[in-house]
Amino acid sequence: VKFLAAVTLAADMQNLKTFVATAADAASSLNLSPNEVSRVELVTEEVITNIIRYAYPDAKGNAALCCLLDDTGRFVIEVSDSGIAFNMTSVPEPDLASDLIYRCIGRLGLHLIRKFTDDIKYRRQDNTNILTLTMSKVAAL
Amino acid sequence: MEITTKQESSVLVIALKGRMDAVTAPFFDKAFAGWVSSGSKDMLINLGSLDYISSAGLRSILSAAKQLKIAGGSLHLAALKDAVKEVVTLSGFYTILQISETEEEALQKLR
Repeated sequence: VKFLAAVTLAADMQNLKTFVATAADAASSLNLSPNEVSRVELVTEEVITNIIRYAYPDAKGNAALCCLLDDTGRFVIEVSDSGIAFNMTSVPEPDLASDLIYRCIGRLGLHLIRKFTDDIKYRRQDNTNILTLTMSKVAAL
Repeated sequence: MEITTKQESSVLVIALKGRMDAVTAPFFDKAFAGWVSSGSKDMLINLGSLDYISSAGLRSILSAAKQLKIAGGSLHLAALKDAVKEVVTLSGFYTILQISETEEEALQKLR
């Protein structure tokens, strides 16, 4: 496993750009295609936005992002927060079959995360949510 | 994200440039509310210069499409770049929205 980049900042919408740029820079350093970098940006945005919106309903807190390259050459995004326990992997898929008027607006982010990753692992440890997302089909190495 | 608009007969053509994410999508929502209150019912969004969209942007587009449909109008998308097209496709939007390869093609459908 190779370390690429890490950043810890307040879970605030004004820091979203820095989180996403940190992951994008790490992905770009591996010579990924622009489309693959976009996928990394999207997965990072979706998980960080989730923390910003829901992890700290009554207080302020941080979000931590760490980008790694695993032994098989896949890009790994690890995100942690010390907010309320939330296991993203237990959320059901959205209904993508209904027509426009009834189409549900929620859970699209989670759906996209699942499409762009090979593996999502969640653990709760020392009052911290730790989410490890392994991107699929990274063309590095 | 930059938003520019032009009127093509009864159709409001909106061009989005840059990134439509959780920070910038609310600007679209606000602009959209203004277009609706000034009477626009048929809208075409040209995404030819949009490099990135996340679920926040998709939500804004879906919400706009619903509002226009309820008002008897419609929302069309055109000229999606690869990264945006991938996200829009995976979200199942091709079955609920009118999506064209070019702005011209979309305008022809709207006429």
